[in-house]
Amino acid sequence: MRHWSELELDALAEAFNVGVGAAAAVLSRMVGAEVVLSVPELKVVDAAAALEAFGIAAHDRVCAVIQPYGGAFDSRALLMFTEARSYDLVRAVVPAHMTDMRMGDMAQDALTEVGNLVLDACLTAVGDLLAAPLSTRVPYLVKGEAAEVIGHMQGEEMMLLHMLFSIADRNIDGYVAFLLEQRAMQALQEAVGRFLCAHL
Amino acid sequence: MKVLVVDDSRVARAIIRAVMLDKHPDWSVQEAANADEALRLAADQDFDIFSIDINMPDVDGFTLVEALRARGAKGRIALFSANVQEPVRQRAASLGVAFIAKPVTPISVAALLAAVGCESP
Repeated sequence: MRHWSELELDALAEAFNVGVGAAAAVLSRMVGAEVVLSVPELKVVDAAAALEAFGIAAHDRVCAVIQPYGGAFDSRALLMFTEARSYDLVRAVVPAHMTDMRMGDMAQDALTEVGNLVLDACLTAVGDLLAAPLSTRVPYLVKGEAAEVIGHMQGEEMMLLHMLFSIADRNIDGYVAFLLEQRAMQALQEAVGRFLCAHL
Repeated sequence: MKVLVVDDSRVARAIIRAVMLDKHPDWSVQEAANADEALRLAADQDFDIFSIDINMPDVDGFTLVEALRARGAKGRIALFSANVQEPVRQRAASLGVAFIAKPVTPISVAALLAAVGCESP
């Protein structure tokens, strides 16, 4: 695994902080309420350590929106919720009369759309700040046991961002991960280095 | 001018400090990584300007603004945050402090200085 200096991780955490802030503003407009954010926690781990870092049990049922992206770092971002929380999120973003749809096709579309908007806002902000533009592709939804969902990503390093947020009186906590292959991780680290050189 | 920059990001603090000193080499710009450190520094010194992050561990920027005012701090305050939601901006306005959206760049630092009356917008 690549070594990241404390300063590089700090710069990257700040970039993701701006990204999460932008994503929260998008989500806030969707649900019509303030999204209260925790301080984002950033970790670089291998795929095997991801579940432990997320604090999710291997057999927990989760829903994940996976957003492939290209540009300076060609990889995938993932927004993951426990299945119960994903129902809460769908209820928060769709009209009340549609909340019986559970995780039917429309609910899955709604969740994918939320993931797309949140991850796109986050990736755009990070890319803009690091002067390394990223373009998003078509997102897709994956459901299953946490280990199985994370298993899709094995063999890659992960930039894990644990984002805890609550909407109005509901506690909906989500997990964001940016998955980077070795080459993409190197490109990201170089962009962070350029950012630090330019600003400090 | 004496400035206190409060942010849990070392990089954010360093950029704000570097941009301010580049524009005003005669200013004193000090840094605090959290609210406790900020309150300790403000107890001993009078700062003219505070740049405060909102989303910090333990004590957030809004609470810090109230604590500084309760302790008689007279400096002008700007909240410098990545949390750009409208309710957050409104809370800043209700406290009577400026709100500046991150990212921290020379342009956003200039906006902060303009907001606290130290530079033309």
